[in-house]
Order: sequence, then C-alpha cells, then structure tokens
Amino acid sequence: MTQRLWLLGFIVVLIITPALVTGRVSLGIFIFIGLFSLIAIGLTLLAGHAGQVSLGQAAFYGIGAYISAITTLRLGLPPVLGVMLAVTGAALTAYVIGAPIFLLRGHFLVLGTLGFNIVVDVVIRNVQGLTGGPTGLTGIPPLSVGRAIIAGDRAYYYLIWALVLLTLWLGRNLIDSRIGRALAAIRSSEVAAATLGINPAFYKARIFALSAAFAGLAGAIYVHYLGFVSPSPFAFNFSIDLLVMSALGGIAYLPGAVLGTAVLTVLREVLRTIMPHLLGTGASAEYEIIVFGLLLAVVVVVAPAGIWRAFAAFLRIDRGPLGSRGTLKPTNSSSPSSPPRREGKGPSTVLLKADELQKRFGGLLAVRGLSFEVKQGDIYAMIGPNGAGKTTAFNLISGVLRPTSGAIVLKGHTITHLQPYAIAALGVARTFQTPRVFGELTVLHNVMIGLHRSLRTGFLGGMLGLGRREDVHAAAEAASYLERVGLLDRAMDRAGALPFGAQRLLEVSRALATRPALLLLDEPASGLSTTERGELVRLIREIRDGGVTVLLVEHDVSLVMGLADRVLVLNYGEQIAEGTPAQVRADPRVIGAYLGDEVAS
Amino acid sequence: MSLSQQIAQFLASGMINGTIYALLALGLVAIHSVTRVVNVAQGEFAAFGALLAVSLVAAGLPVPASLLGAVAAAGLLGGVIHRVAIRPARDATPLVLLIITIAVHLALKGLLLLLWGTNPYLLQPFTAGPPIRVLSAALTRQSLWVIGVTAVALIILYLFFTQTIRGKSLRACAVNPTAARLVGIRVDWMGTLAWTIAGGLGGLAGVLITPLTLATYDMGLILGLKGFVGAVVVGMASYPWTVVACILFGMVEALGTGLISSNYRDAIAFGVLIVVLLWRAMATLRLGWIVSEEVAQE
Repeated sequence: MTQRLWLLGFIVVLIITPALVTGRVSLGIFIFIGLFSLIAIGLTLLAGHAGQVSLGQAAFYGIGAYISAITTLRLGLPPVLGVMLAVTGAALTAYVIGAPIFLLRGHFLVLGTLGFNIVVDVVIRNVQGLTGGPTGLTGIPPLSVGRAIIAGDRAYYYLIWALVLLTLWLGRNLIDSRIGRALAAIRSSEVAAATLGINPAFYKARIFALSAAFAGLAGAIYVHYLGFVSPSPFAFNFSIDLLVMSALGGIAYLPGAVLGTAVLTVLREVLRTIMPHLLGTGASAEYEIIVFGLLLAVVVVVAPAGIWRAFAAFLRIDRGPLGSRGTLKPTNSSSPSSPPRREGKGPSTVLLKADELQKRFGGLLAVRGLSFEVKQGDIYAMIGPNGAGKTTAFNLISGVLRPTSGAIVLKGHTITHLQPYAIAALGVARTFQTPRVFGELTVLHNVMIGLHRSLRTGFLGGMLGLGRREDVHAAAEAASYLERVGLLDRAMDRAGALPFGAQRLLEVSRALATRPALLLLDEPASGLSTTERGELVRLIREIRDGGVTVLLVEHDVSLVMGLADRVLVLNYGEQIAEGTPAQVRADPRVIGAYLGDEVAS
Repeated sequence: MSLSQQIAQFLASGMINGTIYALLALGLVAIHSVTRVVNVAQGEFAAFGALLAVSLVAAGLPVPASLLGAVAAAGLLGGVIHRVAIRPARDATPLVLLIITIAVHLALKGLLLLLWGTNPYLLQPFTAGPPIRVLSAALTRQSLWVIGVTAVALIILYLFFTQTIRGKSLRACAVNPTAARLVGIRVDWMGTLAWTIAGGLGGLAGVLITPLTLATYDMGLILGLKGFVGAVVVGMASYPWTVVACILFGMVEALGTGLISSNYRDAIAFGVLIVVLLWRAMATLRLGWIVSEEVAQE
C-alpha cells in the first residue's frame, strides 16, 4: 500500500514541478532527466534483467533522433510518423546486431556495441548530405497530432514524464511476466534455462531491441523538442554516462534508473558550475569523467545494488525483487492437472537410441563407441567409476555438448545436431550433478520457468500485463509439482537458500514441469541422507508410473540395482556391460572395473 | 604514385598498425585467459606508457632508460589495478568485473587528463634518418623499430610461456584454475602477473607508436578496442594467431581507409569488428552450441 502512496506522491510532485520552477533553475533539466530516464530504463531492463550490457545506447538514441529529424525535415512526414519510424528503426538495428552476437556466449555485446557506437558517430559526422555533418540539422518541426502542435517546455515536460511512467509500467509488467522469468533464468544459468526449453539468444535479442526502442523514442522526442540536432550528444561517452546512471540507481531496479539519472544529471550540472573554479576553465567538462569513473567503481565494488535499495528502504517500499503472491493452492492435491505425455505406442517402443556416440576433448576420448537403447517406460541407469564418461553422455543427449561423431535418436527423430532448447521442446528434461537452480528466484518461480513452454504470454502481452491470469494457473500447477517432491511449504523461499538435497528435488520438480517424455537425472542421490534416498527411490518410481521414462546416472550401485530395469556400465568412456541388474551384477568385466582385475581373473 | 604502389604503401602502414594492435591484443588475451575479464581499460596502459615516456625524456633521462622505465611503470600499473580493483571483486559475476574495467578505464583516463592535460605530445623517433624502401613501399625507421621490438617481445613471451615454470603456471591457470590451485600454484598472484604482463605490453605499444602519431590522454580506448578486434577474430585464445589476426586487421583497416577516406578510419575498423562477431556467430551455429566445454565440465 505504501508503494501506491509514494507513487501517487511522486506523480503529484511531477505535476506541480513546472509551477514551482522559477528563476535560475530551468525546466530544461527536468526534461532531460526524463529523456535520459527513458534510455536508462531500457538499459536497466537489458543489463539488470537479462544480464547483458550495451555501450551503444547513445547510438540508438542518435539513430532515433536522426531518423525522426530526417524523415520529417527532408521527406515532410508528420512528426508522429517520424517518431514511430525512429522507434522501429532503432529496435530493428539493435535486433540485427544483437541476434548474432547473442549466439556467442560471454560479453561480446559490450565491445560490439561500443564499436557500433563509434561507427554510428563517424557515419553521422561524415554523411553530410543526409545528416548535415558536424553542424547538424535545424528547423525540425515540433511534434503535432493533427492540428494540435506540442510546443514549449511545459508540454514536452508532461509528455516525456508521462512516457517515463508508461515505460516504467511496461517494464515492470514485463519483469513480472513469463518473459521476465525466462530472462531471469537466462541471467542465472543459460545452460539450465536452455535445458528447460528457453532459447537464450531469442530472448536476449528481443530485450536488446526493446531497450534500443526506448532509446530511439527518447532521441525522436529530443529532436522535436529542441528543433535541431547535431552529432555530439550521441558519441559513446554518453553510452558510458548511461551505464553509470543505471548502475548508480541500482541495475536491478527500474525506478533506480530514474533515480540514478536524476542524481547524475544534477551532479553533472553541479560539477560544471564548480569545476572551473577548482581546476581552471580548460576542458573542465572533461574532468567529469574522473568523477563518473570513480563513482562507477565505488558503486560497483561497494554497493552493487545501487542507491535505489537504500532509498526504497528509507521510504519503506517493501516490494523486494522477489515479489510476493497470495496463498498458494495446488491445482490437484495428488497429481498435476494434465498428465505427462504418454506416447501412444506399446511399452516396448524404443524412446531413445544412441548410436556409436563419441566425444573427444582434445586428446581425451571421454566417450567412445557408446550405443544403447532406452525403452519407453523404463528406468534405465548408467553406472561406472569416476571419469567413466557418464555426465558427458548426459550432456550429449541433452544437447549441451555436441558429439564428435555418432547419432542420438529420440522417438525416431535424429536430435544429434539440435540445440538444447530444441531437444527440451521434444520432451527431454534433465537435472544437473551440481544443482543449477535459479538461486535469486523463489522456489515457485523456478518451477514456473519449467512451465515456460506450456505458457503463451509473449513480449507484448507481458508488457501490457496480460499474462496475469495465465500466471495464476501456472502458479497453481507449479505448486502441484512442488507438492510431489514435498517442497510446497517452501514455495516462497529463495531457491538459493534451500539446502543441497532440497535443491536437487527442486530441479526434479522443475524438470517435471516441462512434462517430459524422458527425464535425465544426473546423480540424484549424491549428497542425500539414507531417508532422503528412500524417498528419492519412491519418487523416481512414481515418476515412471506417471508415464515418464527415466535415464539416470548414479554412483550408488545398490540404489541402482534395486531401482533400474536395465543398467549400462561405463568405464573410461567405454561401455563394458549392458543388461538387467542381475545380468550386469554377474558380468566379470563389471566386477573387474569396480573391484580391480585381480579379483575378476 | 601508381595504384599498386599506393596499395603497397597502405599494406605496409597497416602492418605497422597491426603490430601495435597485436601488443594490446596479447595483453587482452593474457588477462582474459587467466582472470576471465575483458579489460576495457587495456588501451589506457598504452596512453600511460606513451605520456610517461615523453615526460621522462623531457626530464632529461636518456631515451632508452625513459622508454624502459615507461614500459615497466605501465606493467606495474597493470599489477596494481589487478590488486586494487579486480581481485577484491574476484567472486563477482563477469558482468560486474566488466563494469569495473569500464570504471577503471574512466578513472585512468581522468588521471591521465589531470597529469598531462589535453595537449598532444611527440616523441622523437628512436633513430633518425630517411625512410627505407622495401619493395615499392617506403618505411620510416621507426616502423622498423616497431616490428623489430615487437618481434623480440614475442620471442621473450614465447620463451617465458614455454621454458619457465612461472610461464607454464600461468598457462595452467588459464586452462583450469581449480586444478592449478590444487597443484600449489597461487592463482591469485598469477592473475596479478597476467595483468602486469598486459600492462607492460600495453605500455610498449604506446611507447612504440608515439613517434609515429601523437600521444594524447584519450588515445587509449580506440587502440584497446582495435586490439580486441584482432583478439576476437581467433576467439581470445591463441597467442600466435592473435598476432597474425591483428596484422591482417591492420592491413584491412589501412586499405579501407586509404581507398575510401581517412574520415572513415574508425568506422571501417569497427565495421570489421561487427562483421567478425557475425562471422563467429555463424561459426558457432555451424559447429555446435554455445556451451563451452569448461562450463559443461563443471
């Protein structure tokens, strides 16, 4: 409730500010805080929520500015159309650059966008026929809707701040939606997100385009407000300023973007007033970078959450990044609403087939000549000593690694060359040896991310808050999966705070939420107590009885022998035995591998 | 001058620039492989080395001592930055580390501005004399110094990485920090060593290039970014191929600049960066996913 009150108070202050501003302080600074906030909000969405930093936001700001300036000035288009073209142009440019860069893991976007910003700057300065070169363009018409012309500081002030509130609202809705959860998952662990059917590059490219659209919008409004445009505001220095604004406010908090922008913009004005007195008039504007650089370093090292958190605590705005929901009721107390997929074929159908799989790491053959078949409805176990290649085999099946040679066939489709998210979409889910839960999110949201592919809300729907009803159902369904593994009472806890064993169970329930045909469990029993192991065995049987085929890698031989229908034994990347538990137990090579060759011979 | 002569001239000057980029790129690769940080502040080492060398010469020190002193100081600066700014945040995400290097870039640039102001500085060529003809291109004597000194630096680096225990330890840290720690290598100090080497290489680049262009407080970012272009062509991995890639990149940049317009020099250079990123992305699609093997092996 307090949050609403503060928001209301903030809006009231915004409305009356123009009446209060007189004398030396002009309304212009508030207009620029609003404009820069638009860009910083986009950057916060990108960096704070998708974990990707762009140092090219000034370029998208500039692209928006010049598109709107040129189309209205030279083509005579109405300004509103110019603004729309500017937003679209900036977003498309970002998408075209971002989509390939995001295929590369790691932080290539930063340097790619920095380079892009320099290219744009050089081009704007040199294509004089179009952009007017260093002197720029003048006589750009003000915004108008029909005959109504938007002119004057006050009009732009209200327009810009209305847009700031709108983007804050859109951004907040997006973060709380299915898309926001997918982005949070990607930020936390791309591999885990991909194995749940989320394509990281797809979402990152779109959020990057969205952040560029906000920047383009700011640029377009800027040129119609000032009536002229020149290249200097769009150089990469401003991209760095924008990053400082976002980081200062708190890179994970959207209102922080506005706060950081306000603080930095005011600070810059103050510096411009006092610096010449301290250091002489020469290049005093340049000295800002010292202050900004130190400020950025201090914020990142000392208070990575930025100043918004302290500010929000002071105002008693209690909505943490985790959010909260009402009481939770599972859809059905004993089983999930819709049963996991069952293939319509008989129980003896082959679900998964590996054919002569081989994986080489440099000089090491981690897996060699691995061939096996998993039948529909079986519990199939892979065992073997450390370094036998079990986890590598799992990574090959789930698409996290690509085999050097050989083929993997799922339900008759060759999946050898598919990406992990595509394999997940075909019904393969997995857990990890070291649990990869999305630690910053709630337990419930972890499972809701598992439901990602069965929910429909997209970017637009998410921004407009249209996914709420779907999310209520999703939460209830997620709760039923949590109930199956006995974690329902911890649904609202932070997943990273769970003990190790519970994190394993959370991963299982998250994987089940994808409604897999095949569930891969990577050492599910390691680190569990004896009682927990008993429960795990019961759980795995239950999962199988629900129609899911289970493939597990395990160290605990006794657990496997009591549970599995068939067992495959690996040693040094090679398959040394395969059969029912009884057959395998009697195999001399298996005894040799586990107890040493002397015993075997 | 005929077109073929012009092209030869462009290629020659591109090769010299590429050699400078290579020195910066090698530093980037060293830092990235050991500490997993993409160092945005790499070019500042070059600016610092160049400006310091100018000041030392102006203060009356003999030229060789000034140059060596500047390179050593740049190396020291690299080590200090690792201890002060990077190591305290070593458990942070790569994203935070990256933002820290952006902050270091800004702070260093500001420091250089405070100390040296906005004026450009000139350093005399290491040896005086008219340009030398090689095939149909004219090379200044300083260009030969750039190539010669870089070649010596590369040989020293090669011997260091292959023949000394410390160099091998550094490579071990790059391959697998956990295993390196288990066999008793102090990974922490290896990070400092990598930053020191990167600082020294950056300083060397700055000292070598100053007689050819002018040294300014803000010369660093563009130089460092161009080094990054070369390094990213070969995936921030191999030292020798990084050098080859940088020299080729320098030639492409010089050819493009010469044939189109010098106004577009940086646009051409970073256009190449974007093309290279696209090309690598396509290669990723073709060869397999995204997950590096070290991640999958965790």
